[in-house]
Amino acid sequence: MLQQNLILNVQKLTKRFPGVVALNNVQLQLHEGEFLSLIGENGAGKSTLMKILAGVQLQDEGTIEVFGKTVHMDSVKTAQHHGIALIHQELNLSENLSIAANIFLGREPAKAGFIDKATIRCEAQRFLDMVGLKINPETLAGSLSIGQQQLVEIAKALSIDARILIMDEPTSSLSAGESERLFEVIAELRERGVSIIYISHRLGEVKMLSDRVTVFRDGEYAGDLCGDEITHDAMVKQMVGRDISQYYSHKPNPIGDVILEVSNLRTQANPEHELSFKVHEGEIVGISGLVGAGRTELLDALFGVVPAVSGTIAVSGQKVELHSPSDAIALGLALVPEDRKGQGLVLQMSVKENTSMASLKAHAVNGIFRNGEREEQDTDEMIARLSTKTPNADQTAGFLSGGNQQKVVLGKWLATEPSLLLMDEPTRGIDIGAKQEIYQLMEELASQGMAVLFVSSELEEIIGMSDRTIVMHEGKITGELPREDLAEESIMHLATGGVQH
Amino acid sequence: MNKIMGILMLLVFACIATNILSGGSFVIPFNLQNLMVRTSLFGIIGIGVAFVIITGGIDLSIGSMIGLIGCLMTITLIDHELGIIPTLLIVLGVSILLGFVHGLLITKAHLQPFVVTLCGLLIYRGVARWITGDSTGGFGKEYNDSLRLLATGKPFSTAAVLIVLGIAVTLFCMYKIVQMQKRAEGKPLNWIIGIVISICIALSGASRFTNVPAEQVLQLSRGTSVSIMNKRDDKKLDISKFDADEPGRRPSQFMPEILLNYVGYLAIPLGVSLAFIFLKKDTNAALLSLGLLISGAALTLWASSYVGSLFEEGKDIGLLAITEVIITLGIFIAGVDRFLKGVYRSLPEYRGLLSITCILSLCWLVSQTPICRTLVPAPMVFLAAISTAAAIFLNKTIYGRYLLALGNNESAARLSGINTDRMIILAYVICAFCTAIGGILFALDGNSIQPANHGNFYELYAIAAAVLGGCSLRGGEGSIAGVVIGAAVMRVLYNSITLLKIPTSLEFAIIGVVIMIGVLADEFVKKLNHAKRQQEEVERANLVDQ
Repeated sequence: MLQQNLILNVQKLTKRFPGVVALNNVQLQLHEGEFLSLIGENGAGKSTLMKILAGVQLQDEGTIEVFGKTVHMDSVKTAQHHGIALIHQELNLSENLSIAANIFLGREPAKAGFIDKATIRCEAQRFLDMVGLKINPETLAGSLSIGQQQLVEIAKALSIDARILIMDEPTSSLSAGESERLFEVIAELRERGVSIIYISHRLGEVKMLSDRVTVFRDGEYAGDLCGDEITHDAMVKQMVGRDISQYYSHKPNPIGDVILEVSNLRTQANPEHELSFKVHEGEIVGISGLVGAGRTELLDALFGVVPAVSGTIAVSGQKVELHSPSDAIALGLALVPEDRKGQGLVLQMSVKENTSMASLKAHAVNGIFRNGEREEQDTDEMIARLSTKTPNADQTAGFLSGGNQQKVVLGKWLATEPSLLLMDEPTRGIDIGAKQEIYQLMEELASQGMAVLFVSSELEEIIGMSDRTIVMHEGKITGELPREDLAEESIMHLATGGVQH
Repeated sequence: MNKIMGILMLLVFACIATNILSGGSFVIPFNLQNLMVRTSLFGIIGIGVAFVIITGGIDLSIGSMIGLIGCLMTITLIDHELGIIPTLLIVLGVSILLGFVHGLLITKAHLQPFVVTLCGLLIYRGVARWITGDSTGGFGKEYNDSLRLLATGKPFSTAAVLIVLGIAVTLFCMYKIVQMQKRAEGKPLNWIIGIVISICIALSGASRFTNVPAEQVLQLSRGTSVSIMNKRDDKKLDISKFDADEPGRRPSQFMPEILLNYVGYLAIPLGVSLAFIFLKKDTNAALLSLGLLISGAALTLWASSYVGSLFEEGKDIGLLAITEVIITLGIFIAGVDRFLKGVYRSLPEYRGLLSITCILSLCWLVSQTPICRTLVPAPMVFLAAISTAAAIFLNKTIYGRYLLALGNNESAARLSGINTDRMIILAYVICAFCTAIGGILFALDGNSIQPANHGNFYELYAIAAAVLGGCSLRGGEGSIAGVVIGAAVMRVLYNSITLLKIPTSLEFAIIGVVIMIGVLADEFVKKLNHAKRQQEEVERANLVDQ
């Protein structure tokens, strides 16, 4: 542990929101060149503290010292002036502007009142080189992959000469390869003397990267871990305040008949590769691979969101045509999409309205009228079964936390009584407690004979939960690994295009 | 619900203010009938566009389509003499087809609704002028007693509506009581009171059709606040000269008002007792609302008598009088609103009593106007039918839920197995259907169709009614009742401009300003409520977490 200059010192910080104390008397220290991870369950106050540091919100009590001086962090400009840059979890690039324009958004260098495009372009190129992104700065930001957008955000931070870079869940939507690239960039930044505050739910990354870990629990400071103390178990224990002995508790079930058989399927995104595989009743099958490997596209084709170009899909031995999600639902399929807020839920509507959405038609009276009683019964049943934390069934779904929102999405699909559940990144961005409940649910469904096919970018999750894993690389299936062969190395080997031994 | 309450208060405010400032000419039966016709026509097209707005779209072609429908009707009916039924079928068919094409272009060709319907606006207007050679058309006198009755007919009187309504509510209450006894739960008291009141209403309506002599009517009216002699019309309405044998001029046509007035008096003891209970439970809120209510009522009475005196002296009402009436009435309405909401929130167990008091007060309010003497115009029947069907569709069917869901989040709706393209097309078809019904009635009502002007700007009135009625242009939000009330507010405003002799050149400006104020107020209230609600949500969520 390097005892270098303390460059950021947060003491006794308190922030209240109406009806809740988001941060209670917390502290945080950052030294020069240090990589500090900040972890905690959702709602622990990590993001609030970061917003305060970046000048997005103002604290109620407490002091922030930057390079020894107490700073009143009243605006993003002030924070930037003190060399603090925040990269939000949800990236904030304007999709219709070029990379260069995004980097200099709001502080465009001007010549006689006109934007000086040449300078912008040239400077942008310099910062892009620093983060190792070999793309023309005139490219539209919207056409970049999420990993590339992340790097643009970092370039933007560099352009304001940030000394302290705060990253809120930067890898949550990156593939393993993109994450690797990001870590390299971070290592280079540290060599330049930039200090990093890193927020992540991925404890593997945290363990690998951090010099020191600060843990928050329920808006309070729960402790620090340094060097060798940073272990998976120790972090989980600090975060939840108790031991989680068995994080993944998967026990394989006896496998039943083939429920889904895909042969020679060509998706619209990757029509050059043919995909073939089977899923059995009672089986949990994982799909692993890097982002862009065509995993989501495969699920979309299976669910009829983007119909396949060619090939056959057979459900319970019968060849089927899937042109739309309603076709798939009628066959007993269900899809928990990756983008919970954009595709999974109607945030403005109530828990009840969301829960009944996919099963309204099946229960309709005379085919037209809503069955209000059935709707209420189903909702109450799902809230109880999934132990969703909601004041009542009429609560607006957008007000729930991420984990509970995901449970509402699951409830919607369980109400359709599916036989095959497709899940795309089912635990992204939700806290440990809810994650575990979702794993238990997958377990329970499989033991009742349902088949689960899930996509995940978290290797731990794939290894912990699946009976069998299909690994994809650039649109084709590079291999299938049975449970006993599941290991990070073997999966990464296939995910990066290696050949199965 | 809150939104509908707000717009309803605005409607009541606009009606009373117009009536005071026009010296009572707002409530004369002729004006009310006209107002009902206009409200119905604009309400129908407003309902249509509301469906499109709920999906997050817009339809700008309504006005032009109404123009086209009018021109088509004159051509098929007068020029080609195809007969009534084929004409209606052609018009409905063409409109629905156009709506279908709008939907197809928006969903399958992925064009923006604004662009598609803007092109429609231009195309239909051009076609309408072309097919008629830009010459004004009409239906002449030939159809006055047949087809035109759809728009100009007055099939029955308001009193008859009261009878039907009273009987229907009575039956409904009885059904509820029977249900309660089956389940052996709850107190049927409220429903029994409901039966009594609805029977009273039915009887008041029926009294119009009796043969009560003029002296008795006058005697009965003494104890009421009903002014049988309308100031403006006192020559025509001299009740002593009414002849019992001449139908339509019977003295008993005043009976419903008088009886309803007596029924309405029952609201006073109930209201006072509610006020006392409210005072005990939540003193501050009650004091505030009662203070507003009483001072508003006193000031309004003073202001209206002042305006009345201006009329007697034959003077023009000035800006000062208008401001006085608007402010004092505003205070009164705000008091009513506060009182209702306060009682509704803090006395949940008295909600039944509150609604009974409201109904009784409404009876009294109705008795103050000669509305029982008016006839119900035929378009009102169309509005009632269409709005009921639309409300059932939106609130009770799965497709209504689908529309709301896809208006909020189309991709989540699609991934839930909803055929969103089909639902959006359906919304445009519904809109076109409502436009067709509205267009037919507009054409028949006016009987003079200028291809270049007929229906101009009507799409904007329809959209304004929908927005005033609580539809969000972002989609996913809206109620049919709100749209109908919104259309009524628009027409009352328009009517007040005519009655108050405000220069008609200002008409658009005034309506624009009022809508702007309405939407701003709504936004303001939303912001005020938002912080409060957020706090409640967080507290509730915390409770659950523990």
